[in-house]
Amino acid sequence: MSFEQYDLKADDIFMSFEFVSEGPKGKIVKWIQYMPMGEEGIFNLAFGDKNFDTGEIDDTIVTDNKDREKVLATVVASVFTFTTYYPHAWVYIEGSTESRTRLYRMAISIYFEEMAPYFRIFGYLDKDWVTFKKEQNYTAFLIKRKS
Amino acid sequence: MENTSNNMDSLVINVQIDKRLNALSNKVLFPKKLERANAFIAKHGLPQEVKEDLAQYKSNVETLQKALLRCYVSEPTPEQLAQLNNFLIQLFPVELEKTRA
Repeated sequence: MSFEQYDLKADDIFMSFEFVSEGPKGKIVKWIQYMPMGEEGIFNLAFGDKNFDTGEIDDTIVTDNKDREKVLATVVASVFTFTTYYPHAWVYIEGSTESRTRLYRMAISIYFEEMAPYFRIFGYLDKDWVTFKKEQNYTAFLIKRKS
Repeated sequence: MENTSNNMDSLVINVQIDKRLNALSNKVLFPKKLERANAFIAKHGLPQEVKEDLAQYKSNVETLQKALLRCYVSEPTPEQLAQLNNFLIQLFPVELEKTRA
């Protein structure tokens, strides 16, 4: 399987990433950020379009730039990069909407064969955390690089 | 510009440092999402395996801090230096590799 992805840029501590989606809607700047959560050792993945007015990420917007798989591959690449530099970090992933959560599930499912040897992946399903399997409708995810 | 990679390792190599993004490092770009994430974990908890892993990590960091302190206040023995080296390798594998290179 090939991973067509966008050029990914990172800050020098590999916690903030940027890439530019290109498609029928033009060039759209995307940001990914890994933020330390209240529980030490867990980082929240935030991903969305750069909002030039607020300087924040808008992760509710649906840009439909006809490049979904390429965008997903780029987000997965950021997870791989972040966890390379922070191998002890658990990454928490939850969409801001049900469709965004489905998008994350799709990303993990598409690249599951490639990720599984490297990552421990949990999904939240029916009031419990369980080991991730494809075709399950999880509401959140926890991911960590295997030692 | 686009990249096409055939395995996950090559994805890491393709990431470029952009110092312009350093300004984002100390800024929470989506505070509401962070609040929701913290609320979710507070409400639903963590898998037992994650709890144990985090506890082990905290324990390793504490041991590292003690080992560093020992080396700082007194002449460390070869065994203490070896122990310190092992903890550093576990905690900062990539940074050590870059430093050695």
